[in-house]
Amino acid sequence: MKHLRWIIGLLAILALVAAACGGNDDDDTGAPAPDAAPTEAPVDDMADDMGDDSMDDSMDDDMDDDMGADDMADDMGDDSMDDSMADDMGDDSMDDSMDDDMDDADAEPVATEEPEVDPCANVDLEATDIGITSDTITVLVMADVGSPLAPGLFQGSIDGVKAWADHVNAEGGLACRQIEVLEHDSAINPTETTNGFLVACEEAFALVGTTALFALDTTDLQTCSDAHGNDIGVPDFAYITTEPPHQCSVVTFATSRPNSACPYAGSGPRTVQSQVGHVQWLQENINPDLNGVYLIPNDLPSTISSSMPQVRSFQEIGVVIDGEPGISGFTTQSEYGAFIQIMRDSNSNFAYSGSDDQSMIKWRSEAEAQGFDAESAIWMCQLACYTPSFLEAGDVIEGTYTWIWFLPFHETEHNQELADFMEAIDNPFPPAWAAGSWADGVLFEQVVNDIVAESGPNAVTRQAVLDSARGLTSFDVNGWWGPADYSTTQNIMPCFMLMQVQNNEFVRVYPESPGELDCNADNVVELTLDWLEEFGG
Amino acid sequence: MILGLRPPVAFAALLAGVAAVVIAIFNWKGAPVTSETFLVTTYIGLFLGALWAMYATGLVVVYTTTGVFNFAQGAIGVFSAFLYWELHVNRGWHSILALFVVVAMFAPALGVLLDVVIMRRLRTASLVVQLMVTVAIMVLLLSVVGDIWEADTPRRVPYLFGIENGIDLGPSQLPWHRLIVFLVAIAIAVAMRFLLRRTRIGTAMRAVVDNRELAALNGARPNVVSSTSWALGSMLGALGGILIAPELGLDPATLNNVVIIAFAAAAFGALRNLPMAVVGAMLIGLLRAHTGAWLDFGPDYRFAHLAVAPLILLFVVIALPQARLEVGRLAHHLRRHERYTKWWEGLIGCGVVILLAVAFSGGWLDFGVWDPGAWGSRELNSANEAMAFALIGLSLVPLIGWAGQINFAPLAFAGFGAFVYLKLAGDTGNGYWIIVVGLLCAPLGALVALPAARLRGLYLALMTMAFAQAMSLIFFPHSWVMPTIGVGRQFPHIELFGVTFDDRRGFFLVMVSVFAIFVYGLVLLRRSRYGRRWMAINDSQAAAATLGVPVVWTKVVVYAVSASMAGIAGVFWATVSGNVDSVQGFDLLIGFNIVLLVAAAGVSIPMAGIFLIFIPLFTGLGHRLEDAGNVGYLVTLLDIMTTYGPGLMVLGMVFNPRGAIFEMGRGFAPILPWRSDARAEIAAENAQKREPEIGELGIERPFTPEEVIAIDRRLGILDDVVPKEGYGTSRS
Amino acid sequence: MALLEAENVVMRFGGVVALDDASVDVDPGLVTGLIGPNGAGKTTLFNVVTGLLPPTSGRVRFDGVDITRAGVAKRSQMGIARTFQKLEAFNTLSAFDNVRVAVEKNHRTKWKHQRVNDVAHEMLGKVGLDDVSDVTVGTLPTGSARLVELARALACRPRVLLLDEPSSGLNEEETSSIGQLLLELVADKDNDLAVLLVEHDMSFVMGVCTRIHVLDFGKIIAVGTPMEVQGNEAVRAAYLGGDEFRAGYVGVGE
Repeated sequence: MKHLRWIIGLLAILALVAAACGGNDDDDTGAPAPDAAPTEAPVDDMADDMGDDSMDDSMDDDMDDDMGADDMADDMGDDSMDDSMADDMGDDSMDDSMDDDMDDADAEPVATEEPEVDPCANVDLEATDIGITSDTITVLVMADVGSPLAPGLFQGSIDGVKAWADHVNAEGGLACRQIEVLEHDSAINPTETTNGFLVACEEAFALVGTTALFALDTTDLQTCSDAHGNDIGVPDFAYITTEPPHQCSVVTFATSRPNSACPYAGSGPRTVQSQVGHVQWLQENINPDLNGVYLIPNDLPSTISSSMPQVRSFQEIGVVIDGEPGISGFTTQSEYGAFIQIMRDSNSNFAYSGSDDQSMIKWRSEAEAQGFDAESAIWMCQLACYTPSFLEAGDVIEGTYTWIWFLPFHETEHNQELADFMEAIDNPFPPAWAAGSWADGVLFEQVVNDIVAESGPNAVTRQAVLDSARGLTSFDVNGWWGPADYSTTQNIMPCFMLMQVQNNEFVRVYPESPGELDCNADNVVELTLDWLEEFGG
Repeated sequence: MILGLRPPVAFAALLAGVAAVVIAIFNWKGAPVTSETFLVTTYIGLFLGALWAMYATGLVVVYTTTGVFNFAQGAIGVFSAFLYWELHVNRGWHSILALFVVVAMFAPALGVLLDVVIMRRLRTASLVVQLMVTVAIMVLLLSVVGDIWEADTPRRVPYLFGIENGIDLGPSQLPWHRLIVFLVAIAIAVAMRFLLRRTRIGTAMRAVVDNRELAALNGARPNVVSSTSWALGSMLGALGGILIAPELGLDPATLNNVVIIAFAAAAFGALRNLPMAVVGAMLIGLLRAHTGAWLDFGPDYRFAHLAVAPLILLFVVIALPQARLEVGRLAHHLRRHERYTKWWEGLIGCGVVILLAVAFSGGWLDFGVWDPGAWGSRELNSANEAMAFALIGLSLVPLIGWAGQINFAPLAFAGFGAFVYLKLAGDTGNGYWIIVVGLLCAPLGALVALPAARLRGLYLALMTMAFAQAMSLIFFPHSWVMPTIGVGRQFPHIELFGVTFDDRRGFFLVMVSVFAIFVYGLVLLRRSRYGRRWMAINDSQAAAATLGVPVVWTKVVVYAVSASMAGIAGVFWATVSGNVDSVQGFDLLIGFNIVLLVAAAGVSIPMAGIFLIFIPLFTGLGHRLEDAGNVGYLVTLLDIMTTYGPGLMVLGMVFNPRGAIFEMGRGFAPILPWRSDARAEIAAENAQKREPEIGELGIERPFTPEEVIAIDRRLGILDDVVPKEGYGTSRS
Repeated sequence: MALLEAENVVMRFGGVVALDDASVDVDPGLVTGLIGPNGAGKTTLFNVVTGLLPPTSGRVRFDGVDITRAGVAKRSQMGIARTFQKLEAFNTLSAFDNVRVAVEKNHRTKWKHQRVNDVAHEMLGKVGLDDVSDVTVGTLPTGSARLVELARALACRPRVLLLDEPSSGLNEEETSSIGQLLLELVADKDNDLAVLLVEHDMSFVMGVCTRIHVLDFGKIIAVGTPMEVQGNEAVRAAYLGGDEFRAGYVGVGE
């Protein structure tokens, strides 16, 4: 009897599932038929090898709901896109505008084209792709904001993109359209991050200012369909890329240039570039024989893999590393005492934190608590220490060096883009990710403007944006940041500027003249190692 | 007896010592051993130990005097630390004034409030309810902190006594702050010990937990006593929070997790022995500081020195003597008729679930204003994740719902399942391996339960927590267990019956089918002798044992079943996200939330498990509502409910211990045409509710013997006077 | 030789001596009584015999085998069953299922593969609870719940049955039918059953018991037939001469 019940139960469930899946199959085979219209043929070969059928089908279904009435527009969009692609082939005029000197920030891209002809005049604007209508371009900003335990984490990214959009809209918009910003909270959660990519695929033209730590699955990002049924993915102008799948995404253009080689299988050696210019400067100007401790943030494999290359490249240029201990958010201040002890034992004169401002504060506070002579060492930290809360720690952090790769926020009179940013963001000391996401906006703006200048405002499609961005060999956020090459996936900015906390303020140390960055190519060291294995613990 | 230890304990201690030496030798960092380094490391360890001792003291005081183990101890500390920051740093009050207001005014008030509103009602509640409610308070307090003090402004709590000056220790120094904190912690522990052992109120406090009525007869006022305990415990939590915040930084999650170390310390004192709890805290502090200073664990075991606390807890649990079976703790229930879900009812239920899921996912039904619409990929993606969580939730039904055992580690089991599947199926995605995963996870569940199953339920709960933490600190971060993510999916799409389920809709339906199979299996299991036996040990372990039921073994089996289900669920979870992030994914707090939801739902009847399906079904709702635009207040409501909902639902258990879904089911059952029994029951209850006639109150006729007994029972004057210790609930 | 013997059992809790060198023996075919004032240690002795409490010193023998260190479940399998003074019924289960849990455990060993449900029904019938078999025990009146415990204990097919105040919560009629049932059970040679009964209802005790042990302050102060015990001076003193608290049938449960 009992066995019979089980069997009946299982059979019934299977029958129901079969019925359910059968219904689903109908969807799959029935719906796409109208989509397979002749218009798809010309671009088929580009898209086919990327994705799998059934997933695309479900995308198609959804898209039909959204776009139903715009079939005509779709067809036309396809044509114009093909045109722009053909044009791109032999044309390098795009690069011309990029060759400007860093200091030269007065010229806005749109402005240069104005004297010739207003691209918006006499054009019937079209809905050329998902997220673009005749009068709007919708972009999605995704950031880790709402975690139940850390609400508001990267809110700055969202603020940065919104400020950028308002600024652009006030100046007349982009591609003759107004920018609309959708927000998505990735919530420090892989699933919500994937959801953000999915929303972007369906509702936005591009992702701008992405600041999500857990972009672990970028399949959808790279393969979702555009309005023309091509599985080309959605352009992603991100600020940071922490995980290999995001770093190696073919549609992602990160303004904090990725330092690691792609593709990467997840283990084994990987070629990584590191910025060492700031340490070289210390060697040349303060102490040629640096020896000291480097703190490795070890919360995640990705934080280890991004810190270890820097340690090894410091060794490469002659710094002696006395210890490379790991720290996490759970490390109490008193446990930093062990690192002070290493410094005592080795007579260290150099203390570098690969972690954040709070970690540096704990380290220096503990040094003070233990009676360690702070003057005997150079304390150094990265962009993560360039925060108002670092300064709030007061005297204890006095003298700490910090290096960043863009002009600091107070140098507004030396760069127009920075001045615009500071005015729009309305915060005397905004978080770095606000700046990064703003930079993403400017990057997107530049790419779109290039397309418009080339082929008119109706040529702006995802495909065109991807092509244009992939061909961008130099972009410097209109002189605010150092120039970077977006045509290769791995290419860090060689630029840096060095600051020191003096009298509770960040004071420029090098280069000495305001408005300048050091962009010497020697600032970059490239090493290939298995970084996770390098870490001792 | 060896050195005063019982042989098994001595053996375990010896084993732990040898293991420690071996680990130390193999991971020796090679740093020079100087007396100075040793001294500094030791004082760091003692100082850390002192901070944890303060939390542990609060835990022990509250547990000894109220019988409730307070999971919210850390959260009280977090809240107090933020309040202190607000007053002292943000509003510029003097530190002494701010400290006084927070520790001497706010904290005791919070403690008394908790006691009056909630804790007092938990005295006779089951362990599940007691634990869940304090966990809910923890989650709620942390949510409130997150809402009031948003994380985008970093905060620092300054040291109370300054840290620049101190006693000169040669090249190093010992700051006054740390010396004072250390002395204060010791002084508090000594004072509390004195209070509990040597003073009248202390004696009353301890007596109340043992025998409330007897203590009341002797003049103690139980309510005053329990309020005093909670006020004291809360003050200690607040002080601990404020003193540790400068050390750790003001981050709610990090600060709250400190309390887990305090749990281990308290367990070291068998939850009641204050001096031993302090010793435990110091031991953990010293071990952690010294492992950090001398040992190097490599990238795979990079969190090993943080795992000292869970390992100590594990050791304590193994070393503790067998608990005696408790008698005399039965709660009374409101249910009248026991009725099994019929097997065909289970089938119908599962069918409805599948149909609902199909309808939702395909958008075939129009739901009017609440139209969930055809699910897009985003809704399906969320629904798939929620579905995996619902599966994990189902795994807790036999454990929490029936056997009354708590498991804080469902995610650790799920993660283990994912790991086994990754190793077995590799990149083929062959779905048949899932069955093997289920078989392999069962022994793990048994292994976790085995050391603690002979102890009281609280230790099992703590044990699972320690297990979850040890897994997420030592096991999952290992690169062999969960390789770093490269490009693409780590977990390939599952292939079953020759079909690769690579689209989200199809996979959702697969998971719904598994869900239905789980539910149906539970229906049958509940009807079986195992189901009965699990319910029996929940009601009375002593009675079950006297009937020949092997209580320990029965508990182990139910853990094995639960772990097996969770492991299978873990495979689906990992496949949904494609990758499993080793640190975030199996986080303890997420585990807490799942357990809370399941407990709040009150899934003691298997069909109630079906209601878990609504979690994935409604996942897309908020998004749709936002799109609809004009229902902003609903979105706000939904936000509030997702933040505070589980916690609030669990607080509801204080008043309705059987959970929300059970009551829903009671309301729903009479509607079903074949449930005439349910209709009759409601009718009978209504008849009972009418006002009693005067004549029935014993004026016209004498009380029947039954009524006399009932009154005696109510007044607690019926039974033998036996010291509470007679049943082994208190040994100190 | 007695079927069940507790020899010189001492049970100390901290400073409190609950059992002080107490010895009790129980023979098959008889109902043996264990009486004493409140707090005398009767329930503690039950807990020692069934294994819920390990004695500080002393021995427990069953059928000649030393079971002092045996586990609770093991003793149950050997044939010791009990009811509880303070109810320990499975409150969330129905009366029928309460009994079924017991039958299922002893199904093969003691019931020779009789059908579980038949045995359970038979046991419920014996205590007269057929009509409430599907009612959740937690909602039954105390007296009925005690009968469920009795049926459950019988379902273990015990050789020694320890009953802790079975009559409390029952009316006179029910009490006498329980007495009748006990006498029938021990009289049945097939059962080979010994009953140890703790009871406050003196007429009940005197009516069914063949031998009676009297416990006071943890010590056995008298053993004998009902008549002998009633005439014992020490017993009278224990019951009447004590302070008001004990004599007044006032006690407080833990």
